[in-house]
Amino acid sequence: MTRVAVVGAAGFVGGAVIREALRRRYEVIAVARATSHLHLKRYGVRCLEPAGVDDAGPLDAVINLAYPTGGSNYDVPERNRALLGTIERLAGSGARVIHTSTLAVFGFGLEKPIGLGPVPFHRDFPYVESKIAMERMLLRRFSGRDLAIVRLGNVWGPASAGWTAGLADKLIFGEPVAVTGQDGFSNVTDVANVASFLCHLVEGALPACPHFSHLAEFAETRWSWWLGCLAGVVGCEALSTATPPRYSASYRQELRRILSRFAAGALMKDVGSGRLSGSWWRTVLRALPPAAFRSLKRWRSRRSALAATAPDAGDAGFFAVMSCPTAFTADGLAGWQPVVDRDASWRRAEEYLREAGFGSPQR
Amino acid sequence: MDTGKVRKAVIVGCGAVAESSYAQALKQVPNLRPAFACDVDRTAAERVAAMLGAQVADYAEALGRSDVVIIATPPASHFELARQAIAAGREILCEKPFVGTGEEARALVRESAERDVSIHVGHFRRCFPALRAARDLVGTGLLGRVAKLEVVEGGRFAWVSRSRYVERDPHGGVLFDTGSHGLDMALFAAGLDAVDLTVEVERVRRDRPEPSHELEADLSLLTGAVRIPVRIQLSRFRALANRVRISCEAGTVDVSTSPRDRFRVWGPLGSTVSYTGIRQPDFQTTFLEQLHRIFGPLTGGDEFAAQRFVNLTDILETVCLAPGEAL
Repeated sequence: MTRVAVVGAAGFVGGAVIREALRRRYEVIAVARATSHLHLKRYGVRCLEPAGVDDAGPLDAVINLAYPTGGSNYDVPERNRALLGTIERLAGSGARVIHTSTLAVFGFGLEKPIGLGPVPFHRDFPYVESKIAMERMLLRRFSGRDLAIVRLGNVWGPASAGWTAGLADKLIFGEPVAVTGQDGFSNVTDVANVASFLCHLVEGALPACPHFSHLAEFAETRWSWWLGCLAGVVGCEALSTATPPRYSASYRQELRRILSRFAAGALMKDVGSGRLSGSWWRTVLRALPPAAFRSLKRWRSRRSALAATAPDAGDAGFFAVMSCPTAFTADGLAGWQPVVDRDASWRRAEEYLREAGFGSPQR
Repeated sequence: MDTGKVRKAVIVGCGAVAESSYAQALKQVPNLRPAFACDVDRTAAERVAAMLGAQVADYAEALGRSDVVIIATPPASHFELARQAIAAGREILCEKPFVGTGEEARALVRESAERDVSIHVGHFRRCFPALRAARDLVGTGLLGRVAKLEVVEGGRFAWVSRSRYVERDPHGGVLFDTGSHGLDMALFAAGLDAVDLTVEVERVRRDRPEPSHELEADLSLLTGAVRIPVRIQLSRFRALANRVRISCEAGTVDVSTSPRDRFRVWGPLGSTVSYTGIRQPDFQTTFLEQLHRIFGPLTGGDEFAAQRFVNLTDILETVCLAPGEAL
């Protein structure tokens, strides 16, 4: 029997991967924080916390879906290293490592050149930086080993809190979901296809080592198509904005902006609000005069309090995705074919939306 | 009410809600000084006491030296702790869900009235700007009589309950935990939180015996000759619409279960979004507003008076006890 560990198993993609793996009769070990074990118990799989993975035993593959989320952005690099340690301990000396990354390693709006290979590190939102950093750490650590890096498009499907449910919610409560005149490529991949593809990579030999894949089978479908479908269910039109928040991925611009209004409180507010990552923050600190450096270091102890106010990636990234001018063309799929086409994907989402209470009032 | 006198508060129950919400907010309430922290787990009490600048104390001792009692323990202990606080003549804020049965709720309301003691329940979503505006709209009668209520809320459950009552206590399931929030929003917006009503359950489906993690229920609220159907759909596992819907004869209102500045109104010709102009950046801001309403300086503390949560408790108890089909 194929033995697979799924790290970050409690998320939306994790559930789909577990169901697909069980359908294929794999033995699944779900790795997640203890607070998520309640959610995972219903699959009847063995659950481990990251600290307990040494008990997992020999595995055929480790599928990593996890990334640093929640908590302080300051600690993202540290938490990324801890995650790498978990993957290393699970993989031991022989398991294949299948790591899910994101199209956002090329920027939320795909501003960077897209290529099926390693990405140079650049300063960006903490989420993007952490994804690039993890890819690079895995490439170093698992050099010469069975390693697949799968960059996922925008993962959509029934009960997707980020896209399906998230967009429907924005429509209902009149929040803009598009940039006026910029109907972006959706770069969508269905969660069922993601699960199928990841399990496909578990089986058989990888075409290359390391092997890179880009998965977004509905990349060329514009957001307007999905939003039109959603609007039909929720009974509310999609709103657009002519003035989205600015999405800048320029480190130099950010550094100039920060140094032009130098103040400890303002700097820490940027860290707390999620615009700056811990590593970026340290880069800024190193550029400062020693006296200012020492003054700012004292603020570090307050980072846990600031974390409580940190929002998600932020609207700037969201609007960059919704107006993305580039299609994230699928590549490196190693002979795999999607199990769900676009129409079926929408039908599944539509059924979920109606059942989950998003429908307009029946009058 | 702001009397100018600084009152000493004890918080009993130093688990997740104490750490994540009360420890930050209590220090920002004028004329209230968090003086004592109590918990059966002394380490937890010490941690919260340090956050509040308070002393660790035993509950009986703290009751004798406090003016205000904050009950933030798992729900099974609320009734007994509240009763002791009433007997000691202390003002009380009890975290939601209030108590497990309507009988207990009525007993606390009665005993607090007899002792002339204020007892409040912490349902901070009553401070959501959109909910308050929706309540005002429904209250004008422009949309006609309330005809139906729907509560739909679900998402991946990640609340860090140290006592794990959410998995063990019949009153710790998704119904009492999440459902009490949404149902209270619906009753508040519909103006049904303080009227005489009875509850009839028609159908309940749940994933397991209470504490359930997924639940669907259809019931009716009877007030006078009027029957108001209520639909509840709750999940700890998957994203649902996360909205409360108040359907009236001439229109429907959708309110988010998040602190939004807007709500949607549906009528025969279509729908529109109504904006309150009030933005609350996060739950903690709303939570603090609740404390300011209850303890001052804001007004509106009466909206959190315990008698306004008896109907809610009756509904929760009735659904909880109803035999359920498998979901």
